[in-house]
Amino acid sequence: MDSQPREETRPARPPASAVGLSIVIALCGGMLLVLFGVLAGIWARDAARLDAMIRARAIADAVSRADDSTESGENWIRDVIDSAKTSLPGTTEALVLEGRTFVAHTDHALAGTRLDRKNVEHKRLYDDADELADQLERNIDERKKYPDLEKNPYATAVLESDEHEVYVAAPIIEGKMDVRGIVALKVTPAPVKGGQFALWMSIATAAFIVAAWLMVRMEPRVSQVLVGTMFIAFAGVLVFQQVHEASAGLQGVLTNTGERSRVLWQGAMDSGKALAGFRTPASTGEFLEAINQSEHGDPVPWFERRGERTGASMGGGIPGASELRPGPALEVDGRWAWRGLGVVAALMALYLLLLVTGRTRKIAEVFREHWYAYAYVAPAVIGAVVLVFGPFLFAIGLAFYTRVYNTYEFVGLKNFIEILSNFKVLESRNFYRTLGVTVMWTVINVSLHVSIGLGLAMLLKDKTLKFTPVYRTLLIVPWALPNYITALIWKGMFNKEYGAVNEFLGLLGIEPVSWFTTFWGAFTANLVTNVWLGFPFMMVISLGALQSIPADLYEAADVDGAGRWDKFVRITLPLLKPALFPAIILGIIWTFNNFNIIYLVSAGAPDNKTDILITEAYRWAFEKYQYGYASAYSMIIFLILFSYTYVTNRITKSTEGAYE
Amino acid sequence: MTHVKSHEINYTKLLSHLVLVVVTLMTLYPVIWVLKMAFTPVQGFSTSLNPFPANPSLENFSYLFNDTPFVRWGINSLVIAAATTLVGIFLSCTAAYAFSRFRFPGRKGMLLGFLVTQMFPGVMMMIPLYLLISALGLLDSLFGLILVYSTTSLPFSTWMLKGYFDTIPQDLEESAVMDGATRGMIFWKIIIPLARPAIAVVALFSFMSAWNEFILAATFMNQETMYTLPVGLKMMVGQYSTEWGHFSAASLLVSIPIVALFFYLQQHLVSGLMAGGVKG
Repeated sequence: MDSQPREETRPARPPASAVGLSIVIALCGGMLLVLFGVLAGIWARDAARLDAMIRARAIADAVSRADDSTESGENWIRDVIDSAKTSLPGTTEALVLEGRTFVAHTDHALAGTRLDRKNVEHKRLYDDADELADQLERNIDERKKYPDLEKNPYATAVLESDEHEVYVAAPIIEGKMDVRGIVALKVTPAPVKGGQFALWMSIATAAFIVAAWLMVRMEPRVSQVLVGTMFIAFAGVLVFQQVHEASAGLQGVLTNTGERSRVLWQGAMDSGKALAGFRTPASTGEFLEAINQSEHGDPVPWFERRGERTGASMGGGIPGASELRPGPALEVDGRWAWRGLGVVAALMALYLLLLVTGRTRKIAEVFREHWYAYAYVAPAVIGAVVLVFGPFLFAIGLAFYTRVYNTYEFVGLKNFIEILSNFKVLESRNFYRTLGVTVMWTVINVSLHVSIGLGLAMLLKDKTLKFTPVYRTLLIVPWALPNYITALIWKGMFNKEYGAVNEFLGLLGIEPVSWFTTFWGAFTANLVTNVWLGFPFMMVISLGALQSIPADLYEAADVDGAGRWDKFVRITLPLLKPALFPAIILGIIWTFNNFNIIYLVSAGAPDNKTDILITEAYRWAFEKYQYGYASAYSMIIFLILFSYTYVTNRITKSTEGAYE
Repeated sequence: MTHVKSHEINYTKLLSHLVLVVVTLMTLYPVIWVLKMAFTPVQGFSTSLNPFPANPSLENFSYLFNDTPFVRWGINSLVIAAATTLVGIFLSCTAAYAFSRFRFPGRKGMLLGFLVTQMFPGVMMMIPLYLLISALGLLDSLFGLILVYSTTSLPFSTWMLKGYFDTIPQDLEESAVMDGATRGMIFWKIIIPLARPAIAVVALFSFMSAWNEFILAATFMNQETMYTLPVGLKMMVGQYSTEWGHFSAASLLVSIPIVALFFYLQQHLVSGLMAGGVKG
């Protein structure tokens, strides 16, 4: 953005209208470029994964129906795998593991061997298979424990993926739960057609900037309206067309793979060596739809068996449709083109607004005058917008959605109402109960921090006392230690059988206490840990403030015959206030949000009763995968803290003059 | 208490010492405990109150280096913390300089915006960041964590550095302008060298917070080889196996440099926290 006045070639300043227009065009072009680039990358990656998963699932399902009691059945498995490599282009490696460790007969280098973890060549494969099977079993277990957990038990795993190769594995499931084997595939993603957006957009941006400068001699408004409108219109058409093309390209890749997989699957079923009795999926569309349906756990009609198979009914479709890690839903359909158009329309509206209010000229002037300042703040501001403000706004938006499998559904204020209208305060995950625990946790902690810290500081302030620097240094150690280490140590100290705390109580003749089975026990453990961790900060603050109180004040008080208590209340406390008050405000926020201690020491035990708001929100997000609900939860936390800060700021006016 | 004189002052002093000694012992007890377990080649949590190891050995340490990815975790943590510091310092120095020296439209808004970010609850940020990082394919990558860490510490560093830049007198720059210095030269040759102490504090602060961060790393890193030290250490005292000896040895190795840094920095840290904290 070279808008620096070039004095040597152009004695007059360049016309503001052209500069302003160039900036607007460059900004819009750049924005669209970045947006489209990110989206295209995400689509392509997700499509590549989905593509590989369709293959893996089709093969795994076909294999799971093989009648492997006969030798021809065994060979047939091999045939399926071999033909997968030819009929599904891009499949560079395909192998079947039986019972996790035996490599079935394919042309893989390790075919026919049993994997041994100690063998360096096997280790990788062995670990991958093991991880997948473990994940599956864990998923199945969790699913039993938490029926509302949104994780498909029959997961297909993406073991590794980059732009050159996607490595996926799908389980071969027998019965409902048993992992009989694993199909692992390496797939080279097909190149996606379309997507010369970057090229066209750059050319267009440059061309329109040139046009803006060529039209300088015209009446400014006319040139702006003309060039600007044309640019936006051009960008709109380009976005619409390119997104459409890209999504059609991606859809084409998936449909192609789906069709080939279906043919492969059908061929396998028709060969007569599979267990009989599977209905044919009518079309590729049905095949793909079935994959999506099985994600919801519904039985898939065309996989329902008409015949009988002893002991091994599949129950539902091609096993596994979601990745192990929850990810954004894949939507490569035409709707994106319309959304892209929406973005362009918004830009257009913005541009018109600027134009009507005469702001383009103003922008140009401001920018010409302060471009260096903007250049200096740009990296930080862009970073903060992309990784702090953007996500923050996204979280706010998310709070109004609920997650149904891999899609999000707008539910308005439902999440908030659900959280706030539940008044069963005796239940462990209730919001008001958790809020109460949080407030209690904060108040007790901060009061103990302050009183212990201040008490120690009063002792240490005495300059005639020996060894005070030694005490001071040693007492700060808890603050210096990484707090996750502290938390884990204390968790051990509070262990019922071998913890030092019970050992110590034993010396006093007290029976061992099982700390983490009762609310008060666990709460105390958390509290002790956090008090140990937090008092040094208050001590240091108080000490600094105490040492700055002039000694003659106390001397004067002595002359007046004031007692210790009088001196403390009338001199020390009022003079401590300016230093201590902000520290307390800060301490309250820290403690209110003290995730690590609760999460690592009691982990909410027993039964989530000692969770505070912030750990509870985390659990909703990363243990129950209810992102929308968790966002609403944390938004409430934010509002509580925000109003708290607002009120205290009002009282202390401590931010006064902070901007100058 | 045979040697106590009847003097009242000495009596209170003794009491002070007594209280301080007891509190200090209580404070140090868990630390001594860790020291003991680190040098005891038994994986259970030591049950005796005696703070000295019975058969001191370095077995735990050799186990860490030979049989766990401890070194790998250390390298991960080091790379992440160092890169976070570098990126964070670069971004916050330039921004703080502009905020301190230039008056431009949007300045107040941006400063205020940076301040507000300090109030965003971490968990609320974690969900979109997780989705973003996973959409970019940066889960299980050092780069993803570096991105997140360096931007989350950015507002704090910027505010702190701005405060320091404000105290540097402008005369120097004005005379440099008279001598024909460009703005870039002023920034690199005058401001940065003068602000070195503040930059050092901010650098060490971001290094320490990246080095100690647990929950984001635990959420973003799933492969054992990509763990950072905090995540790795947590795994050692997991639900199923509790290797206290190994954990303690690792804790010692992880803590010693950071505790040393902390004591070296302590004075600055307090004033910095208060300056940033009061405003945030």
